[in-house]
Amino acid sequence: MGSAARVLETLVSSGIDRSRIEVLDDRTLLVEVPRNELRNVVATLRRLGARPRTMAACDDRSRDGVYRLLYVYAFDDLGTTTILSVALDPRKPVAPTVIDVDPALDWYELEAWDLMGIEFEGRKLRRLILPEDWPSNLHPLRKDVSIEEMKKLYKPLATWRGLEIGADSVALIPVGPYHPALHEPELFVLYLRGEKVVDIDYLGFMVHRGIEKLAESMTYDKVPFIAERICGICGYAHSVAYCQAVEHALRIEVPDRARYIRTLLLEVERIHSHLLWIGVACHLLGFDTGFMHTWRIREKVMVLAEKLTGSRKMYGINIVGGVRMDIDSDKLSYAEKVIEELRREVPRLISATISVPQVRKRLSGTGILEKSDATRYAVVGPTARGSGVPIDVRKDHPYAAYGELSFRVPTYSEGDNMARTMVRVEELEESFSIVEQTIDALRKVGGWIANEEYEIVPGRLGIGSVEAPRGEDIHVLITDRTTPYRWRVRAPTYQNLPALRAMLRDCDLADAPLTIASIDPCFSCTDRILILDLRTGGVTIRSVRKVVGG
Amino acid sequence: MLSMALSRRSIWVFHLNTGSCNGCDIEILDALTPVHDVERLGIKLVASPRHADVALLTGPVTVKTLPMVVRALRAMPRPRAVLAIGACACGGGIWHYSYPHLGGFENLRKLLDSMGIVIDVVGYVPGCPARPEAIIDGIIKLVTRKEGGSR
Amino acid sequence: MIHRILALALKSGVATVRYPRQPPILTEEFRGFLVFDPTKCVGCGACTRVCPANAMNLEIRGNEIVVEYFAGRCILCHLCFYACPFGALVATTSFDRTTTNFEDLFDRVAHEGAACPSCGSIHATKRLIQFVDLVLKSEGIEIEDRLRLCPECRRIEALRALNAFRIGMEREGVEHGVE
Ligand code: SF4
Ligand code: SF4
Ligand code: SF4
Repeated sequence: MGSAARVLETLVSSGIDRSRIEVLDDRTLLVEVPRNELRNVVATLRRLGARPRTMAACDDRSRDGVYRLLYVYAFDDLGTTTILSVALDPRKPVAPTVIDVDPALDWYELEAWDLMGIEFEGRKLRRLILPEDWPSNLHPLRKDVSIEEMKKLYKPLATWRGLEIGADSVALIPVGPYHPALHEPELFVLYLRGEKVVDIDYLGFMVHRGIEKLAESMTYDKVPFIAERICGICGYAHSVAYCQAVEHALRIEVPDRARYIRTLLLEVERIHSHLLWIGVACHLLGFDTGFMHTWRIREKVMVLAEKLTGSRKMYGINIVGGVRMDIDSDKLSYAEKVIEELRREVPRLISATISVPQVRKRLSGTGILEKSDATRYAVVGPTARGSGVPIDVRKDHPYAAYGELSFRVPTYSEGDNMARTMVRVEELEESFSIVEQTIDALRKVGGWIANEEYEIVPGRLGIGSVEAPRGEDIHVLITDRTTPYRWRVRAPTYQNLPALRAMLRDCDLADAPLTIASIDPCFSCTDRILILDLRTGGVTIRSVRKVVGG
Repeated sequence: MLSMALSRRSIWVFHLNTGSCNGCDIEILDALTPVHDVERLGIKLVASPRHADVALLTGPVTVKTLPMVVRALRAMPRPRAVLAIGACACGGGIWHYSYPHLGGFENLRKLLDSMGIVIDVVGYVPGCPARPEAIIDGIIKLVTRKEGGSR
Repeated sequence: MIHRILALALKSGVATVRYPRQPPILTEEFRGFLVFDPTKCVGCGACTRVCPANAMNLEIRGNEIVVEYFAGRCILCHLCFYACPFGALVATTSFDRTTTNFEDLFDRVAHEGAACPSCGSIHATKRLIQFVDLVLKSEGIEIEDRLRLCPECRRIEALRALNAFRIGMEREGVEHGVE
């Protein structure tokens, strides 16, 4: 209590009009910012040490006649969220760009242009998410654009495009090894001078599936299932974040037991995800033995998840207001047993993989992300904690049952690949301990597992954030009568990828794949690296294996 | 029958992600790692479609991946086999109503047909995600069909 | 390095489960595919309203109403299992719906449709209407003909009745409170 009041004071004393600030609750402030003051306010917030969390563009024309941008900032040390709300002209929405004062918002502006058609003055705009041949004035997230209409307008184009490509008119696409370990179709362009990386471009968003638009046609209780399928590795974190956003917006009280169950599953997911990552890192180092052993151990976690929830990966047990399945004492004992095994197995595994001198050597001193760059790009999760930025949503903005549990936030200051690896390794230990604590708690805490008596009030704003294995997931949600009015999802990779620029600068080509993987990109297929030789102007496509020389 | 079909020669598979959520992809990997270890059945993951007998296709085929998917499938030698893995690839899954994708392999197949790219056998492994065991089943079924059909 | 790996390998032993020669690692909690029992389904459509993936569909084809379970799209959430009032969808732990024939992924049942007595359109299955009749009779309630109309005709009928009522009121010169 009171942290919102402190932030309020700070904001007022740095020149923001008190009458424009609304206190939503003791952890959230809403500031109405006029268009022409936006840049100043953003600069002020950054100067005060606020961290940009996300930015959501909303089509509020049917509600109050404007387009709206919601900039979400956090004061992590105070556990407070500050939301800037900027109203834009409904006929021609133009906002001033803020990327010179806050470079972390680069992609957000491009996305707002791409999906919502909001222009930003003073910068170059380009397509970020939609395909290049998408009709230029069709902005999917606008309310007057229906999915049917888009299908009509775009599906024929897709067919046409496919046919044209069948005629071999596109040459630059590598027939591609989709990597066995890093499995998403993404493309990085590395600019090289000799063996040194000069710059990097990311040509991605291959997996845009129109989730946010789709959810606007789904009832509240169906959305958790789609939220979970945003990512097949840390999906449960997304479904919790969505539920928390709705619960925050509608002020729904979640029963204790449900909070503990969510915590338990979030940590199970973290364990599986970190193990997966260690395996992938080994694989990228050409050390497949480590990969295989890590995945052997990980399988136990998958079986545990199935035992607890009924599915190996898509747990599917979240609903707004709680969870829909209880975890009985047999399952708890089983979980306890698995954690015990993992506590024995994981240190052995680490000593045979990460602690091996050859591996240490490859990891240390490569892909360095300085602390200043980490704050500039506002990176999150292990990427931030490896660079000495001690942020963790579980501690800073406690949710589920994390406020009642004791755990450490491992932080390293070196900023290299080794630091990020060690953060994850130590987090595994912490997760084991959190799981054990929740098991104990679940044995004691009884009661309901869901609160289904809530009233849906349209037009409310909610924020849900979760520390997913890769960093902070944050969902912004505005309610409507039966479906979400607007649902903005921000996954951690979105925040971390732009920082690769800083990490790869002047790094050896051989270390690039591992560095890209070290932020644990939720989507990545580093095998598809397009190499542009700046001296000869030649373009070659090499697979990671060749690059690594393995 | 199964072992006969499999022992004839080993099956090389190629993993083709067309915008899936990763759920099915990590299950494919799971099938390759020690607990399921499909290599014991002679199933081997290869890095290029030119070497592959079977393409393991996951995801609802997003428009952005379409060019790569088409090229990869075209590069495969005949007889081509595709295993559509997961609810996304079989029927569009939870996304099927959305806009930026084709909604699963069936629609892609129609597109491929119109381009003269023939897919000889298709297997479907539903589930979200498809279990590693189901993926193994799928490959075996597909191979049994493929061997039986082409000889 | 080598000795550590060897130690690790020796301690862990054989991890492989030799499926399909050995049974799979399957817990009884696994949410598997549903078994659709066409004899129990009455075509009420409850499942189609809860299904997040639209894997349960109800479609009017001619004078039949087809209920369809498309396993290929099912995300195994089991919401329909909890929603079906007639137990026509049975939850199993089976993961085996793999096939090389696309049509195998569908389970369908075609119900005979009941026509609206007024406009003749098909709006519900005969089985559902029979079931409702049965329940209401057991409660001692006779069904009014109005209730057999399709939703559209019922709306028109209700408006007509309301209009007649209002005109009657106005004729009698009664002022109505709500404007
Ligand atoms: S079928 Fe399910 S788990 Fe598999 S890729 Fe699609 S959404 Fe993910
Ligand atoms: S299990 Fe879920 S996805 Fe499958 S048919 Fe039932 S409601 Fe639909
Ligand atoms: S809810 Fe049950 S009875 Fe009703 S249509 Fe679905 S399967 Fe048939």
